[in-house]
Amino acid sequence: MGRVKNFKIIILAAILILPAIRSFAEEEIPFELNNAVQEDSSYESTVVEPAKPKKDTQKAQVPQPGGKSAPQADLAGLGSLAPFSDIAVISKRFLPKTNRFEFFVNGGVILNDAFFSDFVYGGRLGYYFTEKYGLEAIGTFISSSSKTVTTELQNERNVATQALATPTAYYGGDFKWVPVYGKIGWMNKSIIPFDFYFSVGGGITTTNQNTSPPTAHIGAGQMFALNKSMAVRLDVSWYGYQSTTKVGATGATGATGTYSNLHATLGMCFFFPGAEYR
Amino acid sequence: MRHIFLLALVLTISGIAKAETIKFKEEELARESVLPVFDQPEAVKRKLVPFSGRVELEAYVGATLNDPFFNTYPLGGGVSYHLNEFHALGIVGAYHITQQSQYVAQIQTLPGGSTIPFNASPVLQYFAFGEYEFTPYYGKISLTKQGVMNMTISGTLGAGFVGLTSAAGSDSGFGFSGGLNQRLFFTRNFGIKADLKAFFYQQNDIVQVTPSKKLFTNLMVTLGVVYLLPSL
Repeated sequence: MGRVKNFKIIILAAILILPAIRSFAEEEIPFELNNAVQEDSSYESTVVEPAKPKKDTQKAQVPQPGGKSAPQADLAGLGSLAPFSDIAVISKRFLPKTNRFEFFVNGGVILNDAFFSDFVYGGRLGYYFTEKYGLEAIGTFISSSSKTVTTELQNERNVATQALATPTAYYGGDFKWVPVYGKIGWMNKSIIPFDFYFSVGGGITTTNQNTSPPTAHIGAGQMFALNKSMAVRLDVSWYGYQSTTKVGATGATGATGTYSNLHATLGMCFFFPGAEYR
Repeated sequence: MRHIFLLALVLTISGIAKAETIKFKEEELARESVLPVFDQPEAVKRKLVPFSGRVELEAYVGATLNDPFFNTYPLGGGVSYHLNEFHALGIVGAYHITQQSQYVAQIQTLPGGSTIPFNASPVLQYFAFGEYEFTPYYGKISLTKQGVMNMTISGTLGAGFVGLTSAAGSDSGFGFSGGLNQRLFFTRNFGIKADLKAFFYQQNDIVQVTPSKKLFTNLMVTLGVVYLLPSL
């Protein structure tokens, strides 16, 4: 009877221990996903809109038996909670810039030249101290040809078109501020991270009047990142300067006019060194 | 009883045995791919500012950039219907406030330039265009991490009537336009819109001694507000 009693105890113990061992063993099962699904990069950067909080959060009701509801006491103190001091509303910048150089090759047009068709091309070399702030050196060259109205003024009205000043080049420097960044979806199929910047600075414009007046420059633009080292950059810049012309009202040299040029350029920018540290 | 003991032992050990990694032979594994294929990937899961089926109202002010003899300042508006998230059809129009540019006085005082009849030069006074808008880009931006705003980038094509005026009288004709604009939304309904448009139309060229009609290109920048209906 004693051996039978021992066997019963062993069986009972086994029955009790078995589920515990099974559950423990199931937790420890290593999954070998040799054929793991490779996620599309566009999904990694999926735009998720922040959920809009309901206005009546504090008036949340707890259902009560009989269909009645009563205020939820736990939510009463929500109004006195301290706000977050630093709320990250969007993921980190895709295109790192801190301590990196940027080389921008560009081409474009002057939008507001009434008398000349101007093709703008050039390069810019910048250095970023932080993600937001940097300095940039600018070299821009302008190739101009007379518009129809200018040719007609010369040919049909004998108006001296050399009296019209147009820029031939600009050399200067800028302070650059990049306060805005974001991401934009193309046809709801892919995501393109981008930065929005402002720049302000000055330099010298050379003109077809053989003058080199000091020039003020204000610009803004966007950089659409292709990867962490390359981006498509769109820039709109205003340049303001004063220049004398060869032919004045009386045909003499010395008439001074104020000129403003609005440049729109598009190009590629390259960031270096690499961004392995990110 | 011994059998019962062995059965309990087997059951106990089987739980541990289940934790072992089982390696199958190559030929016993499924041969077809099990990778999921997404035919219609959706980059933006839920748009905060949806367009589809909504009516957009806009009002704007602006300036033309490259008219040699007139500075013109359009005051305009428009209404459009978004067929879906990408395509919209609408009507836009503007009335232009005009004044002669600085070049008129400068040219008329130059040697040989005093006889040009600038007062007879036609200038764009109004336009009313039907317009198609394509909005391939929708996204969001962060301003120094303190808030998120939604934005779009669109291209437009339009055609319609232009009205011209001069000291010699009024004229009208056919014109067309192409443009690029960017919207920035402060709420799900309200935003601002910056637009760069090129207008093409014919007008009398008074610089010629015998004026004739020529194709003119006028670049215009505008800044305005937009509101989407129904409100969300």
